[in-house]
Amino acid sequence: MNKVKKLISWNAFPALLLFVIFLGINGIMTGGLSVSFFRSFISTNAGAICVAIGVTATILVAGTDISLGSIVSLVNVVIVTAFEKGFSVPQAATLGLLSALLCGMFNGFIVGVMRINPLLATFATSTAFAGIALWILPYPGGYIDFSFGDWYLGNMFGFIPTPVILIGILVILWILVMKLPMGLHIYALGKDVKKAYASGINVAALRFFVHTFAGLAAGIAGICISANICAGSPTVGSTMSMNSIAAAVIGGVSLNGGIGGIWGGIFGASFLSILISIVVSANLSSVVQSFIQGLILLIGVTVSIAAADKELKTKIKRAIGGKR
Amino acid sequence: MKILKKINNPYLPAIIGTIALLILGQFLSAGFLSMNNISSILMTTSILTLASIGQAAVIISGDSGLDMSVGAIMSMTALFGPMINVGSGVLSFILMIPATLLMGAIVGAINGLGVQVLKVVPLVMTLIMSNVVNGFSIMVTKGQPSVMVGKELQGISKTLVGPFRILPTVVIVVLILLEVFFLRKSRYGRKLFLAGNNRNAANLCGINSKKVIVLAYIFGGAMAGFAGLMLVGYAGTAQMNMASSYTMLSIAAVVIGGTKLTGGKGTFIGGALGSLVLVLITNILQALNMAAGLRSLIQGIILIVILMMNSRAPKLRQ
Repeated sequence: MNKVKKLISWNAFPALLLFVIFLGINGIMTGGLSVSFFRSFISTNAGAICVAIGVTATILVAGTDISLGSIVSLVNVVIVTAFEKGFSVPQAATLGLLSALLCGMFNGFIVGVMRINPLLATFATSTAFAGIALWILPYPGGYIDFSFGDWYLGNMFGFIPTPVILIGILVILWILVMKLPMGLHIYALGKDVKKAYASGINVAALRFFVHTFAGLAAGIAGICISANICAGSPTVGSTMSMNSIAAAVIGGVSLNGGIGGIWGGIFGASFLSILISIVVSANLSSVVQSFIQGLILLIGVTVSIAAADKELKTKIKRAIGGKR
Repeated sequence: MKILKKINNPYLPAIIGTIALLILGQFLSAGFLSMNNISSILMTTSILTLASIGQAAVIISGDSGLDMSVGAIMSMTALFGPMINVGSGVLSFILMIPATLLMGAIVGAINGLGVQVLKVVPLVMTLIMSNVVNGFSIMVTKGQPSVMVGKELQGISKTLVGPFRILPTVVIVVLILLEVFFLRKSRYGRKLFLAGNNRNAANLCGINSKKVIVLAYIFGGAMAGFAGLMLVGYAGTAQMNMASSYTMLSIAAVVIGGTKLTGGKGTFIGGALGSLVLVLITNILQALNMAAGLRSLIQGIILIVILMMNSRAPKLRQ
C-alpha cells in the first residue's frame, strides 16, 4: 500500500499513467500490442526520448536548452558528411558525438560562465548551430551505409535492442551523477540560486556540466535518428527542442527548477510519441492531425500540472473527506 | 542634459548597434544607404516592431511571461485576414483590421487564461498554443492556402507619405502613442509595471494582477494578429507558417531594446530599436549574397555577442 502511495505521488506518475492509457488505446486500435510494435516504437522515438532527457537535466537547474534540436541536425549532417568523405561508420558517429559535446560545452560556457539567460543564449546558439548544419549540407541528401541501420535496429548482448542501450547509457550516467554530491547540488541550484551559491556550490561549473550533458544527450539522439533514417537532412531536429520541453513538463518537471527527474522526461516523451502514432493510425484526414495533436497535448499538460498542484489536491481531499 | 541621459540609457546599445550596422552596410555594399533600401528596411522593421510591442507587454507583465505563439498567430492571420471579402475592396480592408485583432486577441486570451488560471508555465502554454494554432490553420486551409491579397492591403507598402511608405509612418505614430498614452500614462500601464515588478505588492495594493496579466496576453495576441495582416500585405502572398521566425525575433528585439526577461521593466520603443538592429543584420547579410547556412551562423554569433554585451545577469557575489 505504501508503495502504491509513493508511486501515485511521484512527479512522473501522470506522464506514466497517460503513457500507459494511450498505449492501451493504441493496442485496441491496431489490434494488440506485439513485441515488434515496441521495437519499432523505441527505434523511431529513441531520439526524442534522448533529447527529452537532456532538456530535463537543464530544466532541473532552472534553465532550458532550445538548441538541442539544432544540435541533433548538426550531428546528423556531420555523420553523413564524414561518412561520404571516407570515414568508417564508427569514426563518423564518434565525430558526430564529439561535435555535439562541443556544442553543449559552448552552451554551458555562455549560460554558466557568461551568465546569459539560458532561453536567449540557447536561441542564439541554436541559430548558429542550425546555420553550421545548413552550411555543411545545404540540401537533404547523402547516405550512410546500411550496416549502421542494421546495427541500430538489431540487438546488443544477444537480446537488448540497441536503442534501449543508447538510452540506458544516458540514464546510467545520470543516476551516477545523482549518487555523487553533485546530484544534490543540481537540485539545490534549481530550487534557489542565491542560497546554493551561499552554500558554496560552484554555480557556473554546474551549469556548464548540465549543458554539456544535454549536448551529449543530443549527440546520442542524433546518432539514433541518423541510424534510423540512414540519410542526411539539415533540418531533421528542428521541431525536437520545443517538443522535448513540452515532454519534460508533462513528466512533472517544474520549469522553475529543482522538481522532477529524468524519468519524467522519458515518460513525457514516450507519451508524446505514442500520441503522434495514435493520431496517425486513427485514419484521420492528414489536415486535422496536427490540430488534434495540439489539443491533446494541451489537455495532457494541463492535467499533469493540475495533478502536481498541491492546493488542488488538498481541496479534493477535503471535499472527499467532508462527504465521509 | 540630465533628462537626455536618463532617456538614452536603456536604448544606448540598440542605437550604437544601429549606427554601426548602417556604416558597416554602406561599407560592405554600395547603395545600402539608398532611399529605396532604407525604406524597405523600415518596412520589415515596422512589421517586427508591431510583433515586438505585443511581446514587450507580455514580458513586462512578469511571472516569467513570454509569448511563444507570436509566429503562429501572425501566420494564422496572414492566411485568414485576406479571406475577408465583402464586395468592396476598401470596406473589406477596413474590416480586416478588427478581424485580425480579434483573432489574435482570442488566442491571447486562451494563453492568458492558461497561464493565470490553469497555471501552466507561459513558455509551455504559449508553445503548445502555437502548435494548436498552426494545426488549426492547416485544418481550415486544408494545407493548401489560396490567398488573394487585395490591392488595398498591398497598398500599405506602396502608398507613400512624403518620402516614406505609409506603414512605417503609421507604425511610428502608433508606437509613440502606445508608449506614452498606454504604457506610461494610462492606469492600466502603471498596473502592468507594478504586477510585473512585484506581484504580491500589486495584489496588496488592490490590483487584480491576474486580470492585468491576462489582458497583457490579449494585447500581445492582438498586436501579433495585426502584424500578421501587415506581413501578408507586404509579402503579397501567404504560405503556411510564413511567420514562424518572428516568435524568437520578437523576443530578441525586446531584449536588445533593454527589456529584462524577469518583467516589470521595459519599453515599446526599445523593442522597435531592437527590431531595427535585427532587420539590419539580416539585410546586410542578404546583401552580401551569402549561403543561407553561413548567414544563419553569423546571425547567431552576432546575437550571442549582443547578448554578452547587453544582458549578462549580475554576479551572484555582491
